[in-house]
Amino acid sequence: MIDSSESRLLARAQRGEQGAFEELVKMHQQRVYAHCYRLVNNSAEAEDLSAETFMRAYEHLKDLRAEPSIVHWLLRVANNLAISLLRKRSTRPTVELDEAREVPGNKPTPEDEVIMRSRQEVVRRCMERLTLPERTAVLMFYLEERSLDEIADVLGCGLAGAKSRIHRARHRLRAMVESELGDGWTVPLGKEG
Amino acid sequence: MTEKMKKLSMDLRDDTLRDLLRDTYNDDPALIPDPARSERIMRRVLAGKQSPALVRGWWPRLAWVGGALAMGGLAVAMFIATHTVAPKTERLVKRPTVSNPAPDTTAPQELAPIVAPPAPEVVEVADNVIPSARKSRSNRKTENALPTRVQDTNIQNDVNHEVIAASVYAAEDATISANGLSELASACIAVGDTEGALRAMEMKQAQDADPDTDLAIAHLLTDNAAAMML
Repeated sequence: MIDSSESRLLARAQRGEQGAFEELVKMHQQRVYAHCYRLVNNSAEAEDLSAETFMRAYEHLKDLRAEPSIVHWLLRVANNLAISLLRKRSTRPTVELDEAREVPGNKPTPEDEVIMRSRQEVVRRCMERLTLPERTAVLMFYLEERSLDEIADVLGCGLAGAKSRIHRARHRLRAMVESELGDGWTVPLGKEG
Repeated sequence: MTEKMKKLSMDLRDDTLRDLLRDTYNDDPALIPDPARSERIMRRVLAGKQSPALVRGWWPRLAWVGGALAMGGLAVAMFIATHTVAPKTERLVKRPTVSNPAPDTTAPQELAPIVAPPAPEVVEVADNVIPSARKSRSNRKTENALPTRVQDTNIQNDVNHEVIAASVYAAEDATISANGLSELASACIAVGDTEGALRAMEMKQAQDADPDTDLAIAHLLTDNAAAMML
């Protein structure tokens, strides 16, 4: 699906209108940031990656195409940058301060909160053990509910490749979570007992 | 295609995993849209977008210019080297090519004296048979050793040779004086026809026996034997 406003903005940006490029950044910044954050699990690094991704986009502005969407190109660049970052830090996982993850709104009971945080940490840890393409595939398919087409485009592979990555990642993730949480992991958070 | 995609997606469907991931990530406060963060990213993009282009635009160009200059210098050096060394090489290579009769107008001047001497000069020394014979041998060797530079001389020599040979054969049937036979022998020697010279001298010896003629015949026989061996 081609977003006509996006293609218009891109055309204007390619003609040299800085305002149009700023609009494009604003349009996709949140999605790119969220994608980076889920991949690297660190807000500061995710912000760095997002900024670098948009800088690359500006450098290659003439080559950018609005078909099917700029965001696929941006996510692919973000993926590559994240791979570089994860290689650098490899065995040096960074954990954010717990205060940053305080959930606003309806406050759960202290017990629920403890269980919820514990689960979240386990799932994040298991996700980090997946390869980056597998992680991207799982997040895009299950969390963002993107189509296989989009996932294949972002990963730079065919439909079959995207499907096999999702399939493999799903099995690996389930096995890892099960080994960490036991049989009770299938019950949704906050609904135990 | 859409049906196929739907089927593929259905195969991969896993609600439990989806809920687990949503619980883990969706309520993450880090993912709540934050205007301050958006502003920071935008500022960094706008601030950083100028510098990479400038840095990458200048240094690579300098490298290209340097490379082009180096290649140009190398080409000029090779051109100069080729044009200064080539004549010597050409001379060394061309010297042994004895069988090439084509005139070489580009050859250096020092080759000029090797040109075969003109035939009339030999006719002038017809009275003295032996020196002529020796001279003839050296002339023949010169002809064999180096290409004749003047093609017209070659042609003239060929014509003379044919004329003189015909004269020798004609002399066998006619009565020619000893002096005439002597001149004929000299002419034969001048064009390198040892056999013709021998025949002429033998005819002269038959008419008028002379020790000098005997000696000349002996020399000619030696020359002929040497020529046969070559």
